[in-house]
Amino acid sequence: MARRLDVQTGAPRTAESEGVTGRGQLETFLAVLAWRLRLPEAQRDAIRSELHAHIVERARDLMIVGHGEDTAVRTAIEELGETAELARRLAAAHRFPRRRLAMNLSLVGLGLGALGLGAVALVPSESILPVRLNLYEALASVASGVSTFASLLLDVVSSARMP
Amino acid sequence: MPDSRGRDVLKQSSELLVLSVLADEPQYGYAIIKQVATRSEGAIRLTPGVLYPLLHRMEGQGLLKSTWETVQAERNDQEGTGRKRKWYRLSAKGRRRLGQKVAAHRACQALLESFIPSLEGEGAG
Repeated sequence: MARRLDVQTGAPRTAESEGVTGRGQLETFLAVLAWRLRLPEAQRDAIRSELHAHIVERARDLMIVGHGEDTAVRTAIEELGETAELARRLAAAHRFPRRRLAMNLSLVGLGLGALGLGAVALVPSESILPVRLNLYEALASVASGVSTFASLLLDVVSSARMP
Repeated sequence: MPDSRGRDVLKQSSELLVLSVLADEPQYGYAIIKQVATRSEGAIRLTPGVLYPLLHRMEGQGLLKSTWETVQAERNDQEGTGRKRKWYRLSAKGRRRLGQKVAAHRACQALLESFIPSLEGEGAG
């Protein structure tokens, strides 16, 4: 492998003198971004793959117009902005539908509970108190079931996989 | 730095840009950035830090659908090996949203147009 020379000193460029290589920068950036993403692994991997492709293609275009590989990769990464901010925006974009889904399911659960309680309260006789208590327990079970179903559904939503 | 209303306008414009670009054919993120720059003759630069979170949010809202393509490695292209490209296309919901946004934009434009002659008149007088 040909050794590159430093432009100013003419000395062979080492890892120390030229800093991290383009590929090294790319891997470091993607690792830091993935670490900062508070998302399930499948979503982190998908984002990592997508941005990897973006950086490689952008760097290639920059190299076509005369940039060196290291500079091109560094520029492509810098154009993505501050890593923590990018991770925050991406994570927020993924949390949005999950939060909305959870809210909708909670509202459905509350609505069912209110309907059930209303129906039980309409029964007039005191003699059916045990039946009424059983119905309350049943309603609590239904609410618990809705909650469990909501969390399962959230797991399914968050495990969207790449083909 | 734009205020919150300015950010809202930029955000809404970015969504309209993405919907419009994808109305013609499926695209991947970097291609969307290049196409927006080309169509606007460089006047609009959609940054990747804004675009990718926006694409993911729109996909979560059901406006976009996506598929993955494994990019074939070129000769001496170690970076390209096994690279995956994510293609986005408009869903039916996204196409309806585009129609709504275009209608709203035209209504707003027509409204503003009605003020422009009077402003010009005041300037001339």
